[in-house]
Amino acid sequence: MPSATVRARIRPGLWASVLFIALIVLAALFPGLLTSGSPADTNIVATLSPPGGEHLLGTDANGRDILTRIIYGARPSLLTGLGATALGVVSGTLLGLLASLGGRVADEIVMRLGDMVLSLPSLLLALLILSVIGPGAVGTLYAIAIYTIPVYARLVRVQTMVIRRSLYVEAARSLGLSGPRIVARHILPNAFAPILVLATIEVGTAIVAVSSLSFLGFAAQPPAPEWGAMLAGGKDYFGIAWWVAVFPGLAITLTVLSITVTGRWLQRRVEGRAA
Amino acid sequence: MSLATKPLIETTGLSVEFGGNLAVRGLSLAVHPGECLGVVGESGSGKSVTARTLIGLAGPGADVRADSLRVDGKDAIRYTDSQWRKVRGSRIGLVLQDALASLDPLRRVGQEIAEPLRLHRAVPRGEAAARAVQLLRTVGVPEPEIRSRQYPHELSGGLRQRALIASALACDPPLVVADEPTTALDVTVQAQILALLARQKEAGTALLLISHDLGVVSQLADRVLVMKEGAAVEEGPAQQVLTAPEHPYTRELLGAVPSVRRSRVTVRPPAVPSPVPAQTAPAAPPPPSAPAALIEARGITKSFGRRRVLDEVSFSLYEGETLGLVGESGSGKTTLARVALGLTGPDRGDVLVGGRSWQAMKGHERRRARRGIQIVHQDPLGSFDPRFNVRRVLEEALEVGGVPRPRRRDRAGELLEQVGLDGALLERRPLHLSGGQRQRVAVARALATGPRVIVCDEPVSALDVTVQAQILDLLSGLQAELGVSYLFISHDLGVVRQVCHRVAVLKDGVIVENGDAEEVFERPRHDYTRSLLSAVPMLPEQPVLAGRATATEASS
Amino acid sequence: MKHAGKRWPSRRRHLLSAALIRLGTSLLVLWGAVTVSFSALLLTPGSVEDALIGTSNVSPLVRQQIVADYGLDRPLIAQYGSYIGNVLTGDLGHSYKLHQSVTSAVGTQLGDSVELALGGMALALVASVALALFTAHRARWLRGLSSGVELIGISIPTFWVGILLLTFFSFQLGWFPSTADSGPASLVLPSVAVAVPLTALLTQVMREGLELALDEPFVLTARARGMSDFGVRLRHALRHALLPVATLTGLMLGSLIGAMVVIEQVFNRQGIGRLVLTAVKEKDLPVVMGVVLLSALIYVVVSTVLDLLYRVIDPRLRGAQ
Repeated sequence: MPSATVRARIRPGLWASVLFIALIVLAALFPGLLTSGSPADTNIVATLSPPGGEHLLGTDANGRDILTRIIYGARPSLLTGLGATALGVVSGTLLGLLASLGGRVADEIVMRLGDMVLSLPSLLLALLILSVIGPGAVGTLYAIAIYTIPVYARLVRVQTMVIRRSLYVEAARSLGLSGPRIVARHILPNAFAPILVLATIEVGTAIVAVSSLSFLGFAAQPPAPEWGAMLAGGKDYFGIAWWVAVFPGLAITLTVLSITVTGRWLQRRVEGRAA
Repeated sequence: MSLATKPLIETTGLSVEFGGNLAVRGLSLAVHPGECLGVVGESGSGKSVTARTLIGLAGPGADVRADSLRVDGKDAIRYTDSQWRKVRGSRIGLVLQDALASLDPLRRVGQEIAEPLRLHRAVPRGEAAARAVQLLRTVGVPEPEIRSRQYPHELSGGLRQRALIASALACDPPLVVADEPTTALDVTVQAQILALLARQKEAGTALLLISHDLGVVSQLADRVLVMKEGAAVEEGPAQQVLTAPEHPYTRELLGAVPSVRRSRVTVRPPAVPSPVPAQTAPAAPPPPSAPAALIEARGITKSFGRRRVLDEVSFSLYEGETLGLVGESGSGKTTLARVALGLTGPDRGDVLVGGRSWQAMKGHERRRARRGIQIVHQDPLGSFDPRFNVRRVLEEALEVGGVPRPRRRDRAGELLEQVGLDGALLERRPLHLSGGQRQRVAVARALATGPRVIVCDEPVSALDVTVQAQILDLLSGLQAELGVSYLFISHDLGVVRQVCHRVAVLKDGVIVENGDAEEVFERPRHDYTRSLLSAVPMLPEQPVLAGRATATEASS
Repeated sequence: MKHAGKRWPSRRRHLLSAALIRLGTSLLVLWGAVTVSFSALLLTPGSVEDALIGTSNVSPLVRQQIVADYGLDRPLIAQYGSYIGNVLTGDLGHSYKLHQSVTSAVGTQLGDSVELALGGMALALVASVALALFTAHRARWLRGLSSGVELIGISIPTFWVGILLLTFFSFQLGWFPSTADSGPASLVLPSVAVAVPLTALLTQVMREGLELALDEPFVLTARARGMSDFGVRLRHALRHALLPVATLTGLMLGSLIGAMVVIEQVFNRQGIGRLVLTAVKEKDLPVVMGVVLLSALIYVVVSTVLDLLYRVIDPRLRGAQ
């Protein structure tokens, strides 16, 4: 039985996450507001200088300020991650609806196709797709979207099926509501909430995937200030300059962490409403 | 049974608190060897918490205090878990409700029964399995060797419960605590389990029987303790407490128990024709002056796959009356309700509402017809869209009923008043209402379209007995006020007796008996009806009763 | 109640039909992987033989030979058919870049990867079971802490874990070697890195399963018999917690294989991961396709095994009633 105290509890973790996300979004949209430098500014004199002073997070092997690069790196990660998730959600939802509302044959076809995609490890599938489309941000976006589509399709299908059989949908039928009315008013809204929640959490996963693919050399390549690419570029210097290894990865982790925490909180709220 | 002997378990001033919430306060009780103490209470009374506390399993976050708590004469208030472990299973056994969840579904029945033997090293290692089989035999499970190797889901409800009892009796404890041991069972199976417990008591085992069902308690208890909101309100010899209670709450509780002996129904609705026994076919069609039935089901037959759920079921429901449909689990009653509502079509036969068959109607005609026949479910919370508050629930029904948008809010408020709820509840969500309140909202929604028939599918089974009585009063009141008819489906014979004019008894998809409530209950014709009625645990006759007139008195 | 004698044939029937369905789905999955690979071949810009050759330099004669071998001048269906036929006989094609058959290329690299995979999995299983057992249903701060740690485990990119481990435990502190071939010690850090995301996933799922199980009445019954709290967790609840793990095959394998590709890169280890990475960069499509097929096969085998295990653990699924 939910109580008023649940709502009143101060959640420092949640607030910190939301704040951090706001910061990252700001960095993605208006990086110039947060830093005066440019991510491409090299400084031969100050290569691999430790954090502190003028370079808060240190510099990399080319003397570029790491903090600036991290700020400018927010955009490619966020854009590609969000784009891939959005594409996956929309396509997956359409396919899932097709499967659940379109009859037995459609259901079987969609589910078997989904199984085939799901049986392959996501990274391998992405690599396969990238080897066909070619490296780059766009290819990465498609690659990531494709392996998430079956996940959403499955979820939508299961949700719609469960809800169709639920007592409140039957109650709506006994009330005398028409089929389309029931779908629009009861089935769809209840089915979508968990999907949106999953999508929110999955944006985080997509961002990790983007940075992983960049690290491997497929999405963004050095000298682009993408977080994964920064780690790839600095690989040879980890032993002598730990800051080159730590800060870009920290940026990725904190971003994904914030998104996941927010998504989980959303999930609890949505589930708390469902009986 | 000698009360002079030391009690097996006793406590005075017991209180159990969970983070500021006092679940049990100032409770004192004792159980002596060979006797049965029945603890009665509704939900929230603290009876289950008490049971668990008496074996040291009050739960995480529990703050247990008592003036004294003695087990086997020894002070147990400061027992560590390892000290309690010596007591649990060997000196005190526990039987819970619903063996399907109370036995590990991933382990074989024999393993579960042998577990206490193993834990307490009661028998040499190799013999545990054989002893488990023996125990199954003792509790009356046929083919115990085979059953022992099966899993709980492979046994029927009654056999499972017997197995659960066997596991509690394995180490021959002098005391068994049974918390709602028969609540999940059909009434005939319940009677068997109660008989088993009675035999165990004869054999010398003391029993702490906890139940919300006064009838069940009255079958076995020597003494009765009544709990309300964590405290004991009355205690004494069973006969005395159950026939001449002193505390007003006990009286209220007893008064609310739906008895199969008497009915709240006083007046027979004029439209109902005289009863016709189910076995004899009507010789001639009813006279033209007799009004048509609101619902007429003819020869309903329905199967799911190979299982035949309904077989040639026929009944009629007339204006202003309540027709009861009684059956145990698996009798087909819910399917029949859905067929009557036109939510699912029968394989054979048809259902006429207002003279027209559901099947003959097209989609929009059906939807129109639905306004006239509504339903109240057993689980009101499940029947509301989880995102809706009370107002939206009611307004949706009003919308279907053709009420224009500006009028809906006011009408919703009126509906709430009609079911005895405050208008302020409109903005609340059903999740935050009590069980009784939710059911009232469900009734309000059912009334919104102005139906002539309301199908009630186990509407009070999930409610406390006092709340049950209130809802039944509400339903009767609405019938008197609005002339609405009810198709009342229930497994609880006492409840059916309370509100139904006529009763049909359903067994395995067939109506075995059909007639006036009084006739069916007092002069049952079919064997099944007789066995059902004899299985109902009845309270002792009460010489003094808190104000309910019996049907016979009113109609004479 | 039904007689025991009738039960045998029906149980056998159920097992048989379940096994057949399993076989059918497995074949379907494998077929799907083959088709996906084949489509990749077709979708790559340029002609198919270009895709097969990749960036290598071959003489026109060899080029003609490839066209003849693969039947690239034949209709699509025939090509597809012969491709499937080849796969079934174990011929996964030829890598022109590596100058060896795909099968042998994959075979030589398999050993190191399997070593890493087993190390990572073993670590992950032990860690997640222990964590779940100890933190389920305990004080809120403990669960919060464990949840927090898992949250980080899920959010942290695997390659960064590897980088951090390498940077601090190898370069800075020198506890572990940084090269791949210095014996078992060089397996430690990579295994830990691979285990991290897997542990995070498994712990969460198992803990939830444990907590659900610990709330069930049968746990109370077991304790009322005299069992200790830990005993109940181990002997009763753990089985229930393992059930949902069996349904996570896809996710777990995906996490494992993905982690391996990345970790082999970070730690400069030999293995399938490096193989496929290089193949993608150099457009050595036959190798990529071969690895894809291999992983589909692994998926099928592992999920069948887990499915059987599921039935062993949960008798309710065995069908006979």
